Amino acid sequence: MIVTIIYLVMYSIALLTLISLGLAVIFGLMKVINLAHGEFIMLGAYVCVLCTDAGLPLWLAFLAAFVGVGLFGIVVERLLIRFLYGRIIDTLLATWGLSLFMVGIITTVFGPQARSVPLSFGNVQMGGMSFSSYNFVLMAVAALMIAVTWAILRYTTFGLIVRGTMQRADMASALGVNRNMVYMTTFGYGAALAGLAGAVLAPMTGASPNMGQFFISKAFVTVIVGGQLPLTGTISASGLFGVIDGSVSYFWSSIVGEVSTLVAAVMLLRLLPSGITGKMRSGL
Amino acid sequence: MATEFASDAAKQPKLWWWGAVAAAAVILGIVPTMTDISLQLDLSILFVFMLLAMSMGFLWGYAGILSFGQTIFFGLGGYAYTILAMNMGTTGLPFLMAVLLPVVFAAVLGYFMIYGQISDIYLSVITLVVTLIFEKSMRSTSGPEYVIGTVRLNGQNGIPGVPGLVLPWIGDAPLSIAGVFYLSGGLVLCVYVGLRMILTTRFGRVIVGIRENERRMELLGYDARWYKLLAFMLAALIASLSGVLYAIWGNFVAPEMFNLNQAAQVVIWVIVGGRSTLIGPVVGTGVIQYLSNWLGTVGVGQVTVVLGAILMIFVLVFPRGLLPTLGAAIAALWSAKDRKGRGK
Amino acid sequence: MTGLAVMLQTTQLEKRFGGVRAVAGVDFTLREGELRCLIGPNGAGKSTFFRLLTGQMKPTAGALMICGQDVTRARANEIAALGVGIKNQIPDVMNGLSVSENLWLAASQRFRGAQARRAVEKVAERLFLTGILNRLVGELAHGQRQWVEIAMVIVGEPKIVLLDEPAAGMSDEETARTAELIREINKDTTIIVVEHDMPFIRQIAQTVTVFHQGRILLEGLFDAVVADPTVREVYLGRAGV
Repeated sequence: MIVTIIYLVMYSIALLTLISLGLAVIFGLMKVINLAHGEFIMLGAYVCVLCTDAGLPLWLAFLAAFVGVGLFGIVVERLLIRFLYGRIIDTLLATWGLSLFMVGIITTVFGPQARSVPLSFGNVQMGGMSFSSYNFVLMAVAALMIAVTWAILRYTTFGLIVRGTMQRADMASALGVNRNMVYMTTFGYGAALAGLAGAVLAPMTGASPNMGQFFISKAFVTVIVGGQLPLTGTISASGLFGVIDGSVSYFWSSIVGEVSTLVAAVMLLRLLPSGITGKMRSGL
Repeated sequence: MATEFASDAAKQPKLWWWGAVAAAAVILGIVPTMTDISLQLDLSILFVFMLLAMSMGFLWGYAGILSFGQTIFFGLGGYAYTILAMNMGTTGLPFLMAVLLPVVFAAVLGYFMIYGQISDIYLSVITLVVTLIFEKSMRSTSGPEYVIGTVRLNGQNGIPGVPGLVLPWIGDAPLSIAGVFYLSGGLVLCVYVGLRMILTTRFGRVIVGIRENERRMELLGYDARWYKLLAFMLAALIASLSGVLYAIWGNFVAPEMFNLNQAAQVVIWVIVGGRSTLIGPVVGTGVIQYLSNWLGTVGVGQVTVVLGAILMIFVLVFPRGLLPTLGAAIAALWSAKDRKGRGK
Repeated sequence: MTGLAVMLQTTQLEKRFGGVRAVAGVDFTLREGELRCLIGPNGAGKSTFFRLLTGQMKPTAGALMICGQDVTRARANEIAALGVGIKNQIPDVMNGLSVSENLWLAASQRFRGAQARRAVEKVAERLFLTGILNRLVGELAHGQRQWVEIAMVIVGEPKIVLLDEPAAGMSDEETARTAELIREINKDTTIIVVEHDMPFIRQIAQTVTVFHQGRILLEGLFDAVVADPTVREVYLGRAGV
């Protein structure tokens, strides 16, 4: 039983990280909450389905989703988001419009029914229970996403610029940093992470126009409670809610897990209104 | 069309405004005598949605609180009425309790959000998440073990056979279709007039002051949190009233009342109509519902594509909404004509 | 003067931002009827001190007593309700509302109904705002907005008034009028003023408190303070007065 709970908690943490990190990157670095995040995930799932249908190997489908949705994110930033910087509420509304629009378009093109990835994975026996071995792929990708994002922010010039813009947007642009470029790339990278998440989820959930809805509530709660620092926030909030969600889901049901996550989040925000990392002045 | 700009709202309405309200009441009174049942049904549901739009428009436009989850109270009101009425066998008391129950929930949720002083966008997103989780929770109740009293919740299939409202002074039979029409239309009018009156009171002026500059209001000695919580509860009251009427209108409640599309529609009604007026959300509801129905009959496919596009375009191009934009345009034309006239 | 009641008192009041002590242990006493000026170079902690006094910030250490009540942990609205009014450095008003609505909101915290309306009319007349009562505050010039804010502060008849740079951005004539007004308000109100403008301070001040690096450097009568060599060094010398 202990093994099962640990496994469930680890899985919950990985899942939360996977679905939240793209949102957290965009929110942490740009202070934009992307309400179409779930649809970016959905788009990634469709890319994965189409690629595997075309006979491409799964890892290539992941890569295609990462790149494809990332490019889509850049287009969205250029056509929509960039007009709304500094108008946080309007970004929220516009991305909600985008979310509806995308659901509608995908339904028109691919129909309302779910599409699945025709791949099967073996099971792993553990503590008397069997788990799909694919879940370990999911955990590995989540860990990889964290590691790569951390490395980019920590070691690349782009990361340096982004950290500078995060701290002092005015200062960074005074130093000649092209803020447009930074925002565009950041939004693209956040979208790419969402796309990758969707592709990784696709073999388990399939792809359907409304699938975004199933993930966004958890992703929003994780990001809001995490606060402004994308990595520290996501990891700590995913850790906290992973434990709650994983263990409650084991004893009751996944819906009770989700409800208790939300209740915990609302209570936590009463104490820390700007999230776990809200008061931290530096970090990633 | 009347445009009430923020600083006019605190004044007592003019005589012509009362005239317009009286005219609307008369029209409301004679419509059922001249139209068929299907139109009355369509208009009734429009009225129900107008109430929902007003609840969000008032809260956003006048108190500056953007709640994406007015559908929480809409759905809770509908479900509460259904469960209470089916269990108790009467409808009057359940009606009252169902309208008030979501307000209690709003007080608790609002306490955590408003007294916690979370930021505006956090509040918007949290309310959205709460309504999503209500939808999911209600969907997961399809098993026979989910029973409240004698009522099975039925998960995503919803609860059919919601009893109609029996008003003792009218008779023992539930309200007819025309009766529901009068009730919902009358309530739209009452809530509109009521909100307009509230804006002239001390409470109304204080919440507008808080919207304008919360810190200054605190420095003047007002506890902004308390007034915002009251506004949040008032808006929840209107939304739950709308939900109860929805249940009575269709004799049916389902998890869709809480869902994201329903929540998005409310936002679109308010954005399109314009949140800086009370009448804006009412008009926006009419325009968007008419458009959606028309698109449905023309068969252009996914209505959500159009609604999503409308939301993006309004945010980008007409962030103030139809009525204030029209009002400003008319005012600009007027003053241009004025200048021309004087020039001659 | 020492016989008069203590209106406001701070004991070792401190505010830290990370490693910086913006207000570093201030013992400050204000007695009834005083007109006190706070001066000091930029970054001396005057504005932070004002925010602490009005509950806009919570101190990290020390205590704050107003009218005999411990309000160290109180919220801004609770301190305001004790009769403390503040005019912030940058005009801080309800820009989307008319002048009369702004004044009414300020007055109706204290008065109800017709009484509130009378208070608005009275203060508007006193501060020459009668002609612009129906204008939106956001449309007014900077100086006029300052006057509106001062009117909002005094309309509720507070016991203590804090004015953060009341003459900033005003013309010479407006400045002179402001000085006159402050002296007039002082007849029945205790006042603290933060200012940089030395001629202005000379017009109004009795006692002056000099802030430097989050502490009180010196307190005394205007002429004595201006003559003090340490004060000249840290502040006046650099300000060129």
